[in-house]
Amino acid sequence: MNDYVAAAFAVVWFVLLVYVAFVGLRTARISREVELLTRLAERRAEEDRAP
Amino acid sequence: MTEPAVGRRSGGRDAAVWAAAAAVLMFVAIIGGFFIAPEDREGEIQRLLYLHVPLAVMSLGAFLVACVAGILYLRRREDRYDEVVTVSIAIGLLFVVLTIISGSIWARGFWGTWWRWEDPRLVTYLIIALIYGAFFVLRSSTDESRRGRFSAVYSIVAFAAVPVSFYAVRAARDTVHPVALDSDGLQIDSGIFFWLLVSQVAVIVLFVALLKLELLQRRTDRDLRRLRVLLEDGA
Repeated sequence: MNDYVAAAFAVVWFVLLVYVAFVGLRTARISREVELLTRLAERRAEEDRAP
Repeated sequence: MTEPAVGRRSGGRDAAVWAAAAAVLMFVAIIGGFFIAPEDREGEIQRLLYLHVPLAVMSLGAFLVACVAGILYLRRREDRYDEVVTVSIAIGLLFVVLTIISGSIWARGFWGTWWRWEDPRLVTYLIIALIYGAFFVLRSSTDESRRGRFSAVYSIVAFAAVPVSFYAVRAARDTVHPVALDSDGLQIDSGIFFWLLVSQVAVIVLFVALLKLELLQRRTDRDLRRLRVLLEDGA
């Protein structure tokens, strides 16, 4: 394969993968947030049940 | 106006289906472009066409989507259109960067130089990149209450630069940028054109997948912030 073709494909795919990694990091942050809010909601439910 | 979170479950499935379709189509386009499509007189380097042209076309397509969403926002004042404007421009800019990188590599291999300032297509495309790159700087410095309206107007006004770039290469006599389709018809082999179309469809589907994924993430993030405020206020 021509070196220039290989270089262009490599760079484009690398940038797309970096973008996917960035989306993955954001998903992980949203997931942590969901976990935190679930704990908060559970604690509130326990407080409401307590006499 | 915000979309209810409950109805968004199918949005996640939608994004996954589009992403899977994009992956399959990209794979088919790469195999076809590299191993099936005929080679023209430029030789192997011509295969960059299957990457560069669809990305360039879709970058301008993304700005068209932003422009249409901007018009819809001004008519209906719904936040979801403002989100489409922002996300479309962001993905369009990503495609612009990839277009310029792949184009520069092709130019280095074919012309022996990374860039040609005398070529109207290259310069007008760079101007478009700068116009849309400025969007995020200006948006973030705008008052939050007017941000949606500003973004909508900007996306519509900025789009005026897109046809200039598209027709520059056709109108200019001294351009060195190759054109696949002009007023005289198809300038490339029909086999090459077929695989170019397949690559174009793959990049369009990739754009839709990224758009859906980004919108889903933004809306989920916004819901979470609302939920957090509700839970903390009630605690």
